[in-house]
Amino acid sequence: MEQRSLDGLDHSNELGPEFRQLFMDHKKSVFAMALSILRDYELAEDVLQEVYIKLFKHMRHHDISNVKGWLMSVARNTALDLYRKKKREVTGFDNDYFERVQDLPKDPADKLVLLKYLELLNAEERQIITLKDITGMKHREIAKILEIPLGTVMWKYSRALKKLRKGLE
Amino acid sequence: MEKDQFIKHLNNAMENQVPDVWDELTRKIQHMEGERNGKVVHLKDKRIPRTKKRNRSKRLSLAAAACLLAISAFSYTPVLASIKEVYDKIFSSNHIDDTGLKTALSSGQGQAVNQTFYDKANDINVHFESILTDEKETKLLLTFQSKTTDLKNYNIDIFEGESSINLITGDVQRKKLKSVGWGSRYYDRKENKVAKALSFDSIKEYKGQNIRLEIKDITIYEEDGFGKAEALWPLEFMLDQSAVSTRETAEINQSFSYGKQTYTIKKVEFSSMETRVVVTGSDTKLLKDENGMEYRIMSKLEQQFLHARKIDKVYGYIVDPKKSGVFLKSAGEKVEPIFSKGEVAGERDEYLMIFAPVKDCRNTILEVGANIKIPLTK
Repeated sequence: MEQRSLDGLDHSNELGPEFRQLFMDHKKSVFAMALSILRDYELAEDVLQEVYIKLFKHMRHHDISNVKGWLMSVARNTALDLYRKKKREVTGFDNDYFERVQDLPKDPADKLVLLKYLELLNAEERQIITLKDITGMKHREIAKILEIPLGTVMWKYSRALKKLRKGLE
Repeated sequence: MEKDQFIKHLNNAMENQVPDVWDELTRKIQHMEGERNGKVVHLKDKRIPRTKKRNRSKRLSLAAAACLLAISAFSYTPVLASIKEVYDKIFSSNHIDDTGLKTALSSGQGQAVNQTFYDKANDINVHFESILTDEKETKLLLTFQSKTTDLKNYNIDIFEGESSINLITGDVQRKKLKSVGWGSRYYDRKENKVAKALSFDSIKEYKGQNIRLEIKDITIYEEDGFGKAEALWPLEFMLDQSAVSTRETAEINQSFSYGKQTYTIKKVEFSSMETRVVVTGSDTKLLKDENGMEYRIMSKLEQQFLHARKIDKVYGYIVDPKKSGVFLKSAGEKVEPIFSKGEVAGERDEYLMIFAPVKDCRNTILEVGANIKIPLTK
């Protein structure tokens, strides 16, 4: 588990290099978590920004011992909240997704895997895959973030991999 | 493909997509910090009204063939009758994605206000058609048209746009009225005319009084956000009985299970514009995260409610007949959800499902998917 303190960050108008480093280190995970729930590129982008604004505000008054866990938890809740609020936009997934992406995956296999991931897995399975294989979390940490039993995480992870494998055959 | 391979591809795809928002993020934080320290920093909001941007092509492409035919067909009738009939046709046509409004109009509800206003600055002719209100909402139907200003991207968006509507009563009290749902819009490309059913707070309490409504500013959808055209469109009239209808409420307090969750139907409100089912459930509660932020998840019931929704390029938010969802059945007839009211919020922990009006409120059943049927009786 990553132990990282935010104490000592520069809170002046010039953002500190450590904040930038946190952004660079975890932006993919935060974006992937948002995308796993929303399946919408632009809304996931909104969540990415919102989460880092929350991080900036939060670290004014608090130390965070596990930044990655904090970010993933807040990204999940922010995305879930947005999912509910923006329900008119986020029901259903269609091929328009790739038309809105700024930089399309260059490798056709990357695009295919992403398509199947978004198309075949349910929201919970996508979150588990994201936390496990993109963020690199342990099953136990995932269980805590998703508030489900450890055994369920392992079973759903395995099922999600099977679904993806089958979909890619 | 083996696991390691597709996980690698997924990581690559994700890496490739992460948007470059660092500059925008730092601008926002600096702006936020500037305000916090008392420095006023005005940065243009580059936030794109996602919904509108995305759906605009669908909603603004509600091209006008049917409407135009309707206008042509009535051009030889006496002027007022013609106007009335044409407007009725627009607002009760399939181009307005609010089955409740259409039902109310077809049953003769509403006060005709029939006033015109010329907005010189924007060269727009505004026609206020009619108004309907009950205890929870008001519908104001208007059209606006221009010979010189392209209205394709113009909307009176009081939900998330730059527009607002204010109520001014006799004692010069001014009250900003909040949106109830998104309202409906139809753009007639050939006529360069917009028909708008504005949906906002109830004004029923002003029955019998002379009131003034002011629409402030027109929202203009742009590629990178929204802008506005400054405008003030006034409407003065006496709110009479013909505009007003009454909502009946039935306390239900009946529980059911769906998707491993438990729900309680607290009450049902019946009006001439909608049927509102108020529900609480094990997954409708307001939650709080470790950051103290309150949030909601989309409940299983809400997912099922929206499952039958289809975004149609021509007709907006409609029911997909091939999909299961949540419906009412009244007097043997299926009653559809009004998806344009999907974001009307209830009280804390409540979830609202809003349907078209029913024919018989004593004989109404809530149907969730294929198997759950709950009579909505006390």
